[in-house]
Parts: sequence; C-alpha cells; structure tokens
Amino acid sequence: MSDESIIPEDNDDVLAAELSLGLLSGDALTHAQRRARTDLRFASLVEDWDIHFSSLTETIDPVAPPKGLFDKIKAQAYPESPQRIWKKLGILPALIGAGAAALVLIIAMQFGNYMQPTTPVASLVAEVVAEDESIIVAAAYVEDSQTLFVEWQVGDRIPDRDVELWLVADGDAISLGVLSKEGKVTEVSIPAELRNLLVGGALAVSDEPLGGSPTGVATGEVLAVGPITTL
Amino acid sequence: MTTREDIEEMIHHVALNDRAAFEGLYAATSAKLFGIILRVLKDRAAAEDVLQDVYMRLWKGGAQTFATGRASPISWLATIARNRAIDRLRRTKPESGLEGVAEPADPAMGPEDLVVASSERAQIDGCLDELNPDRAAAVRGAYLDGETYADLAARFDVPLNTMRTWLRRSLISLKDCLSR
Repeated sequence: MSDESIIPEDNDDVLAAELSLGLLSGDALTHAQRRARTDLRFASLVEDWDIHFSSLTETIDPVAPPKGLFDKIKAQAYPESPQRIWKKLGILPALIGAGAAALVLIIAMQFGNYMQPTTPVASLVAEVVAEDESIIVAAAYVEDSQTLFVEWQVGDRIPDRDVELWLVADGDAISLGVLSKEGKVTEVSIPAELRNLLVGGALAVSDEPLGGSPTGVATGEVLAVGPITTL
Repeated sequence: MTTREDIEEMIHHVALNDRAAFEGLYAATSAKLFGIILRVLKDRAAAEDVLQDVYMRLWKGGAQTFATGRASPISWLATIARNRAIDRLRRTKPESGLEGVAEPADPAMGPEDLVVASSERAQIDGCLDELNPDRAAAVRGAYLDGETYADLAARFDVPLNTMRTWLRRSLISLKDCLSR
C-alpha cells in the first residue's frame, strides 16, 4: 500500500498548511492560491495555520531597523493615493502576497448602501505585477458602467515618459490608453467589442513616450503583466 | 507599553491613511518585523527592502484587510513580514544552502521600541514537540527558512515523495494536536 493512499489528496487542512508554509509550487500553488481567494472556508483554514505558525516568530528578537528607513517609507507613502475608490468598488487590491492573499477581496457590505443608491460592484479584477514586484498596478472592471478602474500603486514612474495600458487577448495587445500620473485612478471606458475579450485576457503596462505609443503597438519595455480574474 | 488593542487601533487608523497612526505603528512594530525578516533572509540590505515593502503595502490598502478578532495584530503583521521575506528569498535564492550563514547582530540596536504582550503562549511549540524531532525541524525549516519539499528532501536525504508524505502526516498530527 502506498503512503499516498493514507492521506487523501483532497485533505483541505493539509493543503491549507502547505500553502501557509509555502511548500507548494507550480500548478498546485496557483490552484491553492485561487481557492484561498474564492473559497471562504478554505481561506479560513489557511488563516488558522497562519496564526499558529506565526507564533514560531515569537522567540525571534526584535532588531531596530536603520534610522533613515522610515523617512524613505514616508517619502514613498505620502503622495496621495485615492484608496476610497477601491472601497466603493467593494474590493481591495491584493496587497499581502503569498499565503495571506486570502485575507483580501470581498466585503462590499461594509461600505454599504448609505453611501449611494447602488454600490458599484466589480466583476473582474487584475493585479498587474512586475516580475520582481517592483511595480504593482491594480485594475477592477465594473460591468454596470463598463468602466475599468486602474491604479498605479507601487513603483517609481519614469520621468517624462508615459505608461500605456494594454489588453492582451488572443495574442493581440490592444491599447487602452495611458495611465494618469501616480496616485490617481484612471477610468477607462471599455467599448462593446472589447468586453468579451476581458474574460480570460490579461492586462499589461509598457513604458512609452509621452502621450503613448505613436505606432499603436508597444514600443517600450513591458513593465508588468497580470491575468484578469473573474470574481 | 504598547498593548494588542493599541496596535489594532493603529492598524485601523492606518487603513484610513492616518499618518500619525502609521508612524506609531512603525515605531511599535518595525523592530519585531525587521527581526523576523532578517531571521528569514539573513541579509541586511534585502531585509530593509522587504521591511519598506511591508509598510508600503500596509499603507496602500493592506491595513484595510485586517479583521479584528481572528489573528492578533502582531501575529497578522508577523505573517505578512514572514511571507514577504519568503517571497524575496525565493526570488534570490543562491545555489548553495543558507545553512551556516551567520545571523547579523547589531548590539547597538536594542528592542526598546517594541514591547508587545505575547498573549497566547505558543501552542504550536508544544505540538511540534510531540512530533519526531526531524519532522518538527522540517516544519520549522519550511516556515522560517523557506525550505521547499525539495530542499527538505535534500537536507534529510530522503526521496521527495517520502518527504512529502512525512510532512503531510506531520501536518495532520499537528492539526489534531492544535485542535485538542
């Protein structure tokens, strides 16, 4: 009898622990991360493990970080960033990273109906992330208004250059225009013929001359790419 | 003395982009988080980058995802710091193992700016002690050194599938113990 038979593959507790510990890779990791974002029961198992394992850090001695570090953080943090729009959309960008992505998303209720007659609800989201995570651009699509909200959240913008947003679908990259400067949410109205391409597509951002690519195809470096996910 | 409630309060205010709360949270928690990140990365420059990234993420929306009640705030923050450090480790992992790399210590820097009551005594330590020592070491290695199944199989010199089975069994035992 093989050992595997003793431990069913679908033991969620074990899978949650493996995700929390960071033992998974490849498809298994992708699959588990998706479940942690969409399956609340599973997300709560992962969180249970996160809490237990985190107490392994209790015996680690604090070390004061260098004095100037917080100044760097402040300089990066304080250009204004309109978080409110994300709240209104009932979603929060996935900012936590491995394992704890579970804690994200959801929560439209809490920003409920007293704000406005109908709370816009995002149906598609994308996190457009550079390979080294030096750049993060969050996007959410609201079906009712056929609007894609895009925010450059993390990363330095190149002076005197623009960032252009692309919808990548069926092997083509279609320009969705240039992004507003850092700290502003860009609203992109999605024309009817592109709406069907969003599901299963991806978003990308590239470095372009001011005003965007003169040719209609990306001319500069592709800075970050991220798949569009259905909520 | 900074209490759990103080830190919770600060996180909630950081979620509202309250700068004073952000500065308070940093003062109260950065040394602990830096200690954790250094423990994982064993590289000061990389640890500074990751610490900066953690606080940026908290400021830029991460703090809004904190839910009062489940995780204690320091456990929640420790999880974020550890996860970001492991992500960084995975991206820059050197060919050789990290065993034997001395942990940087700076005696000039004291932990004076962090006093957090450790309310729950680490139940997991007791439960790990019930496991075979090798397997407890494997779980700790995965959590604090970012060791994957492949790394652990190499360290304990067993086939990958054996390591996977060992560890899965250990995780089931752990779960049983933790739910007692």
